[in-house]
Amino acid sequence: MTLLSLGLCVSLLAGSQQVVAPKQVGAPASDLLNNRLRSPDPSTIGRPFGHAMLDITFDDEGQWQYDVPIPPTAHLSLLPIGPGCETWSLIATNPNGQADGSNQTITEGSLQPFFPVTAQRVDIANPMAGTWRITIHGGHPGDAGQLIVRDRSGIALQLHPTSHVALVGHPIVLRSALAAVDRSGSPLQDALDGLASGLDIINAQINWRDSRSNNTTFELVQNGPWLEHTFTPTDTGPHEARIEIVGIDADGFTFLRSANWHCQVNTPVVVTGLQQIDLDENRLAIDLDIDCSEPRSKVLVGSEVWCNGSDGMRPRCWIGGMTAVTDGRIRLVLDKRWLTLEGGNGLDLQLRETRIADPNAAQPLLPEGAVGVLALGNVEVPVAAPHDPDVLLDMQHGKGDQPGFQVEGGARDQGSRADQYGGHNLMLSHGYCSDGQSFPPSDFTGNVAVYYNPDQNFSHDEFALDIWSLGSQYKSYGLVGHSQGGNAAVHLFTFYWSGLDWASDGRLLQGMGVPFSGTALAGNLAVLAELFGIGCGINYDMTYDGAAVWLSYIPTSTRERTWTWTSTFQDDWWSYDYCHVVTDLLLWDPDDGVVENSEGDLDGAHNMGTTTGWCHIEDMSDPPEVTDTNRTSSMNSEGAR
Amino acid sequence: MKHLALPCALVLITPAMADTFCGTGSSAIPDGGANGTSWTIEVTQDGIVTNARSFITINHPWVGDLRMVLQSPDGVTVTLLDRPGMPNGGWIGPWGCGGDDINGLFTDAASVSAESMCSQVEVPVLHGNMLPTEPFSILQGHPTQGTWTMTIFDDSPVDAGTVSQVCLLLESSPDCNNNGVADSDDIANGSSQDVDGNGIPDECECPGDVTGEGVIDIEDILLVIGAFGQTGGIADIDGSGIVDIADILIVIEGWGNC
Repeated sequence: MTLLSLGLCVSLLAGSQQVVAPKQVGAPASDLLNNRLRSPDPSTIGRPFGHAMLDITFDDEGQWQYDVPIPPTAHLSLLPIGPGCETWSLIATNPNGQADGSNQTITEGSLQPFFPVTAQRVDIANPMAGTWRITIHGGHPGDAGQLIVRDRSGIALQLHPTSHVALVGHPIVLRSALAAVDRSGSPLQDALDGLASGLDIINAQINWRDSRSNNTTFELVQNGPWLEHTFTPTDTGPHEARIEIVGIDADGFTFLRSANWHCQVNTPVVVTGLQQIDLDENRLAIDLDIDCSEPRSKVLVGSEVWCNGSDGMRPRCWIGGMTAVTDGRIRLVLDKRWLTLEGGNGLDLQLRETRIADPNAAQPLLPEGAVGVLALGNVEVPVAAPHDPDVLLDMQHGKGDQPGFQVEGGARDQGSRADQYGGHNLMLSHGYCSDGQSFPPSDFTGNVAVYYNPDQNFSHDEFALDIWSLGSQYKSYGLVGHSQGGNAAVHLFTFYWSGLDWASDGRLLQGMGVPFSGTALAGNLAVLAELFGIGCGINYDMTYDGAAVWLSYIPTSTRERTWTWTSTFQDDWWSYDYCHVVTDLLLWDPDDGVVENSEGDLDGAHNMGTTTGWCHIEDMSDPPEVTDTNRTSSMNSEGAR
Repeated sequence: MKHLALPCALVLITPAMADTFCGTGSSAIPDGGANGTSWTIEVTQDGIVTNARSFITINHPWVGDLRMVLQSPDGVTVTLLDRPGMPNGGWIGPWGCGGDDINGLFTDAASVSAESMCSQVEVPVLHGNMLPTEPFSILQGHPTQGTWTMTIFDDSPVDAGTVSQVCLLLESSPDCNNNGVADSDDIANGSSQDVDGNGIPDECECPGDVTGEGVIDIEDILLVIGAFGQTGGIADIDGSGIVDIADILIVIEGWGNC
């Protein structure tokens, strides 16, 4: 038996220069009643997939051919992509055997900034329903690629897991159904509506690729209105499920859809004991003994706190945050003033729905997803309800007196900043896997710091701590984050003490094009990037599922200090427009080429709306949104420093 | 000078004195400067320090920048504040406490340290009674009289502030023999005699010098002998109520120059 297999959670805090102090996060019961801090129902996060991705493999003559069923639709898009696709040519032959191309638009589109190639996209207006023969010439024998097929019939493959738990030895169930894109919001109702409208799946396969790149294909089985598959991972690490279906509509037209679903499989954590320690007159430490099967230095924890009161047994607050794993023990800190404030009397105190998650993508580590009830007995509560704003801040953030985490001290900067060392700055941050180009510092005035660490695939937690590392040079700062930089800002302020906590009044956390609820590209684009051997990989924090679970740890007190903007392309009536030739096929309009507008808003935040005529980054159809001086001037003047 | 231990002597304890002295100086604190602003406090009260406190009012947007050092007339220094929140002990961060302003009393009797009294919202952030970084008890036994100096440093070139009030609350006792121990303590612990029981150590006065000429000589002894048997009067040196042999012995014992 190795040390690592002893089943103990040991602290890994060692060997670095700086220590970041975690916050002991507290939130009122209203954050539970509005479900912001409750684990989201995975079925409600199920995403509609309106495209199909077909494997291309060229034969000995450098040709690939496939018959693609197309339903009635006003528009059809076909895009073959893969290494060498500059030389490929696509011929689409309609069900009548005609390939005259009279209603086809062929666009030679650059796939930058995602892929260093150009590709030929074919758009067909009002295509004939039926089976189209797609032929691609000009490939090298044996070369591989993907054909992305997207129609605008409004029929989507809905896909969701039945649980957010992805642990070794524990089954993962994926469910799929067909439904209209404009769904009701209830997955069951959507599936039933889809069946009632004549939509059905006549063939469905799921391919699992485990962390060792083993591929296994299964048939999906019917279970009520869904087709589903249960998979039990045996190894930790990244897993990918790819579902391909053949659907049929009420008129007998068939069509293809595919979906990719990603998860990071962990080993489980089990709660084995509980102790209570009075830290001071107001604060109660609740230590949970946990049994890990692999070493962990910290985990993300969250729990509802219930107790009796004159109004009966009710939730009184939520507590959580990042906590060190020390000798197999983690700590939650309850400020009992929450109980008084929320009408509790401290009798029959309970933790409910206690969740323990991996700090990266907030992936659940408890086999059941949460511990239902942990009884704490009766506690004395402060007599007077606190209303002093300073006290409320203490209750929301704690006192920073719990064990911190060592952070690599690699403060990064661009070298051409106008920052004020030891001063008060507005920090600009780029996003995930960025080339570093983001908000132009010259569009901002005063003290401006630039976070620069390109081509990284950080989790929100890693990103936030990297920003913290740069920010430790400054007394205080506000953050202007593009894309994942906005997620990282929210994460940093929620879970760690930093210069954000000392910034001046004003907009503390500002984001543009932030995938608060995820983006389809977090997984799909990585799949395509594998073809080229480039890219930064899958980011689990920004998948739809990962984003939803992460958000369920972000309290209203952070959201209220967040301002966010979205963008979309100029859509002219006389043309079919989009931000990017590839991502248009994977996203639902309106979008900025990376983030759908609906996913860029944050519930409880200051959502500043969508501006038309801008895209996410460079090399898209409209200018990059970070150069929109109308918005950046406001971010500059209103930003906290 | 030798002293006699006399029974029945009346012992007077000189009471401790307390007074408040406020200083003057340049209000602007040099930002990031090595010298700081020095406020001088003139203390006329003689004696030695038994207790000290200081009331200070500073406007500054980042109190974590500030150091404050008090220096006594004989050069003893006490650091009252040393960049609260630094070095980084956790949540405050590497730049110290970012709160605004100081308006309070530094005292050894406080229960909360100024170094740990930080808040994101309260203004002034350092207020009420605060424990200084180093205790005022360091000053005990050092002379009160003279020029005291309170120097306020701002160690960061970012964020500037001003001082509007520096006051020193001194409690002291006389120390006529300048041994750094209060006279009352000298007498109580026997290190000084007080034959006339007036609370002043005998080494600070000349009890046999009845005539007050600064020398104990024949005139003094003749005066005592002439009053022998009388009650009270200046010849009753030991205050026993009657001029007797003990008074004569005091004169003899102290014979010569005072």
